[in-house]
Amino acid sequence: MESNPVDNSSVGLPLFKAAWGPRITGGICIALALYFGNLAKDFPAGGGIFPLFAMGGTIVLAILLIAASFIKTNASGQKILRLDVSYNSLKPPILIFLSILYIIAITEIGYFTSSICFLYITTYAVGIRNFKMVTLTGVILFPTMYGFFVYLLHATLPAGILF
Amino acid sequence: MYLLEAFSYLDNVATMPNMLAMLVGVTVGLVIGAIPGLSPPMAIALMIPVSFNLPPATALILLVSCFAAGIYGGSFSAILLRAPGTSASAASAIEGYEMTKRGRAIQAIRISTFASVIGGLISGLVLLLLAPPLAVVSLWFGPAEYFMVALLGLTAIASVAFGSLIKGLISGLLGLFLSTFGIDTYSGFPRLTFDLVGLESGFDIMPAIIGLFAFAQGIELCEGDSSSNISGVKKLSWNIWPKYSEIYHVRWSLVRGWVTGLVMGIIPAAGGSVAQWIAYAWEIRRAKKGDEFGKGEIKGLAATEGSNNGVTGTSLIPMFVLGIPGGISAAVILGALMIHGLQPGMRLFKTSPDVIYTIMWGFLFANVLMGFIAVFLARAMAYLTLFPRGIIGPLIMIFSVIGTYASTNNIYEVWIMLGFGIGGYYLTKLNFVPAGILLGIILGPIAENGLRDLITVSHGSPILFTLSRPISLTLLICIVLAIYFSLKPKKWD
Repeated sequence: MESNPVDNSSVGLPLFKAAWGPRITGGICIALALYFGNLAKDFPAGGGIFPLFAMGGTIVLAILLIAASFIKTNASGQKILRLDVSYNSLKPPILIFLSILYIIAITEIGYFTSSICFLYITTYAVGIRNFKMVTLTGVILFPTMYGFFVYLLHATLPAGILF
Repeated sequence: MYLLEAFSYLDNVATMPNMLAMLVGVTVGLVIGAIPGLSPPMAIALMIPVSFNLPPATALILLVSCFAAGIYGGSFSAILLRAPGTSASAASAIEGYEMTKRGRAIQAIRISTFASVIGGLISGLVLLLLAPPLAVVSLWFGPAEYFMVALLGLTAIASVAFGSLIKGLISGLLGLFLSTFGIDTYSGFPRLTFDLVGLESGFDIMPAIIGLFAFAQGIELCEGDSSSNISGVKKLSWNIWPKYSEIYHVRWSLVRGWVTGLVMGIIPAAGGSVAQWIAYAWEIRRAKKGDEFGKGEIKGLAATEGSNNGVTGTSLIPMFVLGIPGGISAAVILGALMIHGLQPGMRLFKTSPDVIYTIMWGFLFANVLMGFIAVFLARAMAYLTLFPRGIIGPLIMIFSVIGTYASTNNIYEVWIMLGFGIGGYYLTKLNFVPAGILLGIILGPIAENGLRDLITVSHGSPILFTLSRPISLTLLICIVLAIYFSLKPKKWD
C-alpha cells in the first residue's frame, strides 16, 4: 500500500498546508514593500532610489517565491502545519516578553537590580532548577561586570531608583 | 635602502616599556573584543588616556596592539556562542558556531588562532615593508570603485543563503532597505524616521549585529532541553597547537582569506566587516564535494578568520602615509598620533623614522603575543560551552543589553537591538538569512553613497564612467564572475 505523504501525526492546532507558507510570506513581503515603496517615492535629491530599488527587488523576489510554491508541489508542501502550544514552543515569546520588561526596568529600577531579577526569572522560566549554579553565576558575574563597566570603561549605566 | 632602514629599528621595540605596552594592549583588546557590543575602537579609546604619559612609540604600540587583538577577540564569542564581539567576526559565527555545536570548539579556536596570528603577521609585514607604495592605491578609489566594492560584497548574499536563495536575496534587500533609514546625508531629509528621534541616525551596525546574532542566539539556546550544553560533550580535550594536517587541509582557504584581507584593508571604509564576507563567499563558490558549508566547514572559518586579521595591518597604511583613516579604529589611532605631536604623511617617515618603524615592529610582535595570550583566554571561554544552555542563553541576553547600552549610551539603541533580535529569531525560523540582512546594512551606505557620487561625477553617464576606469572595470568583471560561480550548479548537486 502506498504511504500517505500527508503528515498529520504531529501535535498542535492544525493551521494550513505547508505550501501556503511561502505564499503568505510572499504576500506579506509584497504588502510591506508596496507600503514602504510608496513612502520612499517622494524622497528629495535622489534619496528614494535605494529604498525603491530594495522594495522593487523584494516584490520581484516575493512573486518568484509564490510562483515556486505552485510549481514545486512535493509531499512536504502537502504537510499540515500546526500551531504548537506546548510550553517548550512558548518559551521564545515568554523570553521576549520578559526582555521587554527587563529593558523597561533597567531605566526605572536600575541596571544591576533588574539584571539579577532577569537572570533568576528567565533561568527559572526555561526550566533551570539548579539555583546554586544560578546564584554562583550571578555572584561571580555581576561584581565583575560592575567593576569592568563602571570603573574600567567609565560607562554610565542606568541607575534607576535602586541600583 | 627603504627595507634596510625598516630593519635598522628592529631593536627599538625590545624594551621593557614597549613589551609591557604590547601585553596590556593585547589583553585589553582581547577581552573587550570578546564582549558583544564593545568594539576595538572603544578599546583603543579607553587606552588613549593611559598613553598620554608614555613616549610616542610606546603609546602607539599600546594602541595598535589593542586594535589587532580586539579584532581577533571578537572571534571567541562568535565561535563559542554565536555572539560576534565585533562586526569583523560576524561571518566566523556561521561555521565557527556550527563546529562548536558538533563538539569541535577547540579545533575551531585552534584554526582561528592560527589564521588570525599569521594573517596579522603578514599584514604587519606588508605595513612595514610596503606602506608608501601601497598607500597610493587607496587614492585610486573613487565613487565608481566604492560602488563596485559594495556590489562585490553584496554578491556574497547569494552564497550565504544556504536554505533558500530567494529568501537569502530578500534578506539582503531588507538589509539594504534598513540601511536607508535616518537622515539623508545628501539632502538632510529624514527618511522613514516616523518622527521618532531614535531613528534619525538610522540603524547602527552594532545593535544590528548584537540583535541578529547574539540576542537571537540567547533565545534559541533557551529552547529545548535547557540543562544540556552547547558543545554536546562533557569534557573538552585541550590541544591548542594547530596540527600540520589541519593546516594543510585548509591551506588555500587561508591564503585566499589573507589575500582578501590584505587587499580590502587598503581600501578606506571597507575593512574587516566587508573582507570576511567576500572571503567566505569565495570559499563557498569553490566548495568541493564533501565540503559542508553552513554545517561547520573548517575551510569557511579559516578564510573568514584569515581575512579579518589580514585587514589589520594594511588598514593602517592609508592612515600612516596619507593621513586618511580607513575605519573607525584607524581614525582613533590617527587622533592619538596627532595628540603625540606626530603629523601623519610621508614626512613622518623622514622626520620620525625611529617612531614609525618601532610602532610597525610593535604591531608585528603584538600579533605573536596575541597568539600566546589567546590560548589562555580561549581556554577559559571555551568552558562556557559546557554550561547549561538555560543559563548561557539569559547571560547572552544580559550581555547584549549592556553591550549595546555601553557602546552607544542610548536606550533607543537597546530597543533597536531588541527589535533586530526578535526579527532575527523569527526570520531564521522562516528560513530567511540574518547574515544577508547584516551584509545589506553594512554595505548599503557604501553602495548608496558610491552610486549617488558616481552619478554626480560622471555627469549622468555612470556606466561609461565605470567602464573607463581600470579598477572599477576589474571589479565589475569580478562581480560577474562571482554571480556566475554562485549560481552555477555544482556537479554533485
